[in-house]
Amino acid sequence: MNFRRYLIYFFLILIFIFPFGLVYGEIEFSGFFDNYYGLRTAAPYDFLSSRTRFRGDCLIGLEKISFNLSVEATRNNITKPSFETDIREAYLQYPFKNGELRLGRQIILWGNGERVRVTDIVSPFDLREYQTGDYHDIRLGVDALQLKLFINNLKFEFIWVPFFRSSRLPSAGDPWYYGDFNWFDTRGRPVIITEPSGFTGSSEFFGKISAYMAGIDVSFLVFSSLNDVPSLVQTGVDGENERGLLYEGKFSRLNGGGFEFSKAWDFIVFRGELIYIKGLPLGNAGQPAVFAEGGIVKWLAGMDIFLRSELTISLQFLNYFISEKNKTEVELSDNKIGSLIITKKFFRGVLSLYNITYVSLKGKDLYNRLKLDFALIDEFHVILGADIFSGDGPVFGRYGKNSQFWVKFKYIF
Amino acid sequence: MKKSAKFCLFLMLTALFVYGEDKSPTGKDIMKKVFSRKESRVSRMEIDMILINKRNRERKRSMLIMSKYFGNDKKSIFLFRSPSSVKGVKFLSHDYENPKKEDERWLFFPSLKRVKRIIGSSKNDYFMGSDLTYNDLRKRDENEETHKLISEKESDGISYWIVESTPKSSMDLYSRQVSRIRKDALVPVEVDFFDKRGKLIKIMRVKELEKIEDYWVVKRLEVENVQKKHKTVLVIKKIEFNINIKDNIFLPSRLDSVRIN
Repeated sequence: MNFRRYLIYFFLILIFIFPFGLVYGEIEFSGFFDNYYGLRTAAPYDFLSSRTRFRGDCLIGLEKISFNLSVEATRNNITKPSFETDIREAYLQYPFKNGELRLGRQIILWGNGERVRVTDIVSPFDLREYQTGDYHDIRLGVDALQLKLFINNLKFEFIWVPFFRSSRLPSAGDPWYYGDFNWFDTRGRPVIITEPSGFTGSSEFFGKISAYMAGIDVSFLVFSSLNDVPSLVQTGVDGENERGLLYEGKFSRLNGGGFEFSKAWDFIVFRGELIYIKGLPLGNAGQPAVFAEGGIVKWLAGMDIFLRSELTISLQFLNYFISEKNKTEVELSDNKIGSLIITKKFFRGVLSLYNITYVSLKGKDLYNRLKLDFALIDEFHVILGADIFSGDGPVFGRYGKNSQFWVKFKYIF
Repeated sequence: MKKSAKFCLFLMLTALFVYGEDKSPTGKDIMKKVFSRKESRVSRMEIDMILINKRNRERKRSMLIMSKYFGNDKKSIFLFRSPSSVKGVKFLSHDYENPKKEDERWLFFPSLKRVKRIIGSSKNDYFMGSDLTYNDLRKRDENEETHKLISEKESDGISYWIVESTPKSSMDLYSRQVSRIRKDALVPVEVDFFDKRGKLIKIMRVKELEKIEDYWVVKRLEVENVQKKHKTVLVIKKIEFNINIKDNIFLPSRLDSVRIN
């Protein structure tokens, strides 16, 4: 469905429901304005980011049904386009006795990893500034039908995404553009990236069963989805030049299953995620994709240690596994990554500290993100931070020139 | 000793024993009555929590709390309504009567779209930046502390017990608490909390107590941290008892879906 038609469709629903909400139900508005500036820590000390953003959320609740809308408008002074609007979410929510139906654009989060994706495979990401934003800000909505069924402590989820939406990637000229998806074939012609089309080509399906038991939460999932970033795939041999190869940028079909768990024990919560994926391209984004025939297993193990005085320390380890039989010469770039997260609140929550350090054990490079959130008043926050990339490895070290200090001013209403 | 003298001594001892048991209950007896005082099986409360710092600057949090007993286990859901930075956050707690079973907690952040299991044992942490710890808010058991009746007092025609409670666990935040308990309501109306060094750390005062239906309700509570000069005022704006609240509201599986108001 084209974007403009989608926009018109949902605003018509909004206009239709709004008066009913005023008369018969409830209407809630919320949102924020923020200003964000990122300054490079090394020469030429230029701005990597400079933007102003407005987000408006609206809930119109009637007795049986509610409508949720979240829109965003961004004025960007560094990357293009300089002004953009986005419908983050626009969905109807219909709860019934033992379940709930959601129809429309919605952001869906799976998994219990902290700033790490293993089973979080439903919503794509806005990667135009790598992953330097807050994850809940850079996750994109998908146009989907979501059905949830509840039986006591069990939850069954089924998601159908009929219209594929890819992750947003940086464009040539953007500070975070590293040429990853700018491919050329053997004759120097740019490779065309084709989005999936048709019902079978673009549909994605996800299913999940979650059990909330005494002391432990467990989920099992299955999926048939599409990779949300394209990969370079050889599609044939160039007829004019026998030695030339034809390539296409494709969003690979991914099939598989997995599980998640969270287990509380004294002052620690242990958590983990494991996913088996068939069809995931391996190797660097700039190189032709290689597929492990038997698929791969990606897993995350983590623990949150809740200490006194609102101090939490989390440890995570991300890795993947390919059987010897299916081993390829190339690997997933994000393997063997450890992360340490420290969160602490000071002055009764007026000042919050968040620091995450990712270390690639293989590439011996690291990324550290520090965030200090100071609530001048409950509604107005000044947030200071730093994104530091270090090392020569291919995972984080490649962004070494983009280490930045940043400041955000945020008014929440 | 003559038979008559032995009989007199027996009578005196018996009289003393009987008098003592009838007149002065032990500290533990009193706290058992306090902790098991009549409570509604189901309740719904709208609360304002005002945080006042030493410069007298106020921050206000509004929340809705719904609670229901399932047997002797208490399940509660908190919905934060304001300020806008925490609006829509839901906190679900399952407090189990069996001390061997760890309490369970889940948080739902609407901005993160995520239900997160957190631990149930961080009882010494302060609740939402207030002067109340999670331990102060939960249902307690008289066996967690050693209680001693210090004295009995009367003021404005109301009788009180003064009870000193010393925690058995060394992990507790306080070294002791001294409570002034209204005898007719079985409600501690003033509690002094002492830190590990034995210094007064905070005072909790009930400013408004009212009997609604069959239940004594603390309608206004003030907690002052005298060391940090910070104060928390809790005001119940609306309270309802024994209303129809569906069981499924208290399920973690529904925390991200359920609409409560």
